[in-house]
Amino acid sequence: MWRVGLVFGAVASFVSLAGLVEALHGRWVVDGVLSTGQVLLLAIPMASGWTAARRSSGSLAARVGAGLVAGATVGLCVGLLVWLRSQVDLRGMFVNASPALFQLLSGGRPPQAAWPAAVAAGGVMGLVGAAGACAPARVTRPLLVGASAALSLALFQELVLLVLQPESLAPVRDWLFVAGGGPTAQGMAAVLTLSAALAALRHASRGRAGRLALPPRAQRMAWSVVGVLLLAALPVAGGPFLAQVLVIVGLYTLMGLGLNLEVGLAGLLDLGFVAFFAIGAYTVGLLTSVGEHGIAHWSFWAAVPVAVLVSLIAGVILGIPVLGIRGDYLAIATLGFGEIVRLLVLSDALRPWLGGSQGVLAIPKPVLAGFEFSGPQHLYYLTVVASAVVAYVAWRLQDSRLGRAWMAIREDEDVAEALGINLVSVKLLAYGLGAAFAGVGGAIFAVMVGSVFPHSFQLLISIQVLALIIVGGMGSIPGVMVGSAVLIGLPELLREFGEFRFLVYGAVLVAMMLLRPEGLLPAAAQRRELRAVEEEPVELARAAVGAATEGGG
Amino acid sequence: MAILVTRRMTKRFGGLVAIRALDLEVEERAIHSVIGPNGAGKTTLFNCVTGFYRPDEGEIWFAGQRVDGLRPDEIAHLGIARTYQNIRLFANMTALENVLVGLHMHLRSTWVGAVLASPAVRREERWAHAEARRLLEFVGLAGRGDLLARNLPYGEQRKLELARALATRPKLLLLDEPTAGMNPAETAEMIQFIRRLRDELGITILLIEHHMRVVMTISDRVTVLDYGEKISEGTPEQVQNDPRVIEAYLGTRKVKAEALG
Ligand SMILES: Nc1ncnc2c1ncn2[C@@H]1O[C@H](COP(=O)(O)OP(=O)(O)OP(=O)(O)O)[C@@H](O)[C@H]1O
Ligand SMILES: [Mg+2]
Repeated sequence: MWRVGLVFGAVASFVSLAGLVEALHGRWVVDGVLSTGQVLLLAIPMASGWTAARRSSGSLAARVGAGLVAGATVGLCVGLLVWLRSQVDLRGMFVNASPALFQLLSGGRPPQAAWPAAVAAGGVMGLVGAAGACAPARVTRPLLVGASAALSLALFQELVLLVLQPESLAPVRDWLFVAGGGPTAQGMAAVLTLSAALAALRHASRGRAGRLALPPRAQRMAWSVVGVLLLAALPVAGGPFLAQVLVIVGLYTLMGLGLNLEVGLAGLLDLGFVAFFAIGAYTVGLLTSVGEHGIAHWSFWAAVPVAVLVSLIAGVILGIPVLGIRGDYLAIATLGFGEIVRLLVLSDALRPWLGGSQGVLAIPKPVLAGFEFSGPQHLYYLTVVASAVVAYVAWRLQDSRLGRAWMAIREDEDVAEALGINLVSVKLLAYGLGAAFAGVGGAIFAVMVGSVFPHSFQLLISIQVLALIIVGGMGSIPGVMVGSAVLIGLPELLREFGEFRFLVYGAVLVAMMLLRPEGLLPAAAQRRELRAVEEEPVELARAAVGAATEGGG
Repeated sequence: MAILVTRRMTKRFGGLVAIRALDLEVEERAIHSVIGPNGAGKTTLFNCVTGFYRPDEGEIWFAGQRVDGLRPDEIAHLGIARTYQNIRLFANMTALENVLVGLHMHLRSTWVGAVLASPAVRREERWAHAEARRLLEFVGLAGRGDLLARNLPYGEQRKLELARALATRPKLLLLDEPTAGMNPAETAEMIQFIRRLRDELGITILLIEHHMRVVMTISDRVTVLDYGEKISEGTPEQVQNDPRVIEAYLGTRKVKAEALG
């Protein structure tokens, strides 16, 4: 248990020295009382206590004791860090080891006096964590929901303030937020209790028969309507900044849906995927630009199908040389393709046509029946519609004959071939259609930025798209959306995380692999299976009846 | 008439000759067994016939057509299906989906049709699902269609592999040790099943089998391989009494499974 404590202690020291705690300290959970940085610091010994209590298998007292020790150990680590800093200059090695950070860590006490306080605080938080691990879900679940809601309000307070901007909402705003500052204590308490109470109610009513009068189909309809309304209202309520973030999430969703065909369904790893995004963007740029590189001055709507087609062909062209390559080698080969495309558009030889590092400029915004999609709020709707169409296509594909063939070659290429599947055509279709999806994203990207240049198409984008598929759940369409919201949207919204984006990425990916290797929203097959297991008794009974009444075959 | 013929077929792996100048004729609607000690080249023979390996010398003919050099999917289209010694299912797909993949080459729908959900595609998908369920029922997996293949117990995985192979509607079915790891009751059931395939569906069976009792009860003809060479061939009785076979099995190498009996 003290070992658990040491691990979490190391985590606490690390996030402190990396600067994350201090960055989060700038944002209030309760104005003037508690900051998100402090919440993070307190959450670590709590998690430590929870983990230790979970792991120990003794009596209740033993588990609580384990939590206490594990939490206190974290406190001790932080206390030691404070003491260490008073002895040696840490700043030489850790640029973020600022006085302000240590002011926060020691609670303003002198270094010698800091560690007992840290151990005590850690121990208390450890106890809280242990209590959480021992208490029944009926108690912990609502509390957790309440805390998450409160924390979300703190993290997204700018957004909430934006929504509350109209003068008519001023009373709510003033009640929830200190003018020009963070949330008020009363507001936070209200949010916490309200959401906790709702969660408790929900938990209590679960399992009771006839809980909801609506049949499942109607329920699904109702949820879809709510979802569509929410999607339509978001940019209006949240303003251009939120709309811009959502457009980027949408573009990554488009790419994710495409790469998901290749990696998630067909099992063909592709690290050069950004190339197709670039090809879509350049095609639209060249066809529509009114600048010097524009070749056709087409409208956006005429250019998009061409961009999709060009991306599709590029996908097939990439596919041909790597047809026979399997596994790790495929990653390297495709990596090369992405870089080749980027270097080609950068090259001097193609500069007269593609504009070299300057790129293609003066790409007009799309116009539909006199309406110009000028700002992010307009482009948002374009992106949502495009994502919906592409997601529909992906969904149709995955349950089709071709989709099954993709999954089959992912599972066992040789066996699939021996069942009569033509590997060449099936693989080339995966590359081509995946690339076409990315081409749609590229087309929107071109009009969003108004210019395309090679610098926008870094290898990093390919890696992010792959990461969001993994986090969302390989082969799962809703997973792609959730993955891009979590990995792309959240870091954009939480400006503090900006510089820690890759730290957070790494942490999220490692945590996912350990806790939920199948992803946040795993693919349909697994969920079908879960459902089947639940229904098994019925199914088996039906099977038995079937076997008794017919001879089979 | 012979449906499958190999002529002086040789397959080498580096210096090792896995199959040496093999002449084999499998009669249509026969149950033809291939036996031999470990490493005799039985599985290699299957891999050559299904196009996984290309023989170094000789020819393979199937239903009057030369097939060596064709791709595995082309050979599958001609009507050869197989199962594997170490079961090879699509582990993360459901049982039903495994069979649907087996039906792949009998379905016509294209991806455009699937996206547009055209009536023809929808009709075909309905038919395919019904057909797959019928095949699952035929092998005794009724009601198991929605389970992931990897979560089925061993015996059911073997059955699923059979259902998937049958979905391709083969003329010739290659079975690589279908009773491996089965208890006597399951083995008896499998023998019955293989007979039904031949009698009811008219499928020719080429069978690799280590259980001698199985071989002797269901085979019309038996070929014995040893170190890649055919050392004996004939009816079960003839092979059983061939001194070369007895020597190969009781000779220096250990006998796998059971002795001849
Ligand atoms: N891909 C390969 N590469 C190299 N050698 C191989 C390969 N496949 C088979 N062999 C060798 O060829 C010989 C015949 O192997 P094969 O698998 O055909 O035997 P088998 O009769 O099926 O044996 P068993 O009863 O153990 O299944 C063995 O010596 C094996 O090691
Ligand atoms: Mg073998």
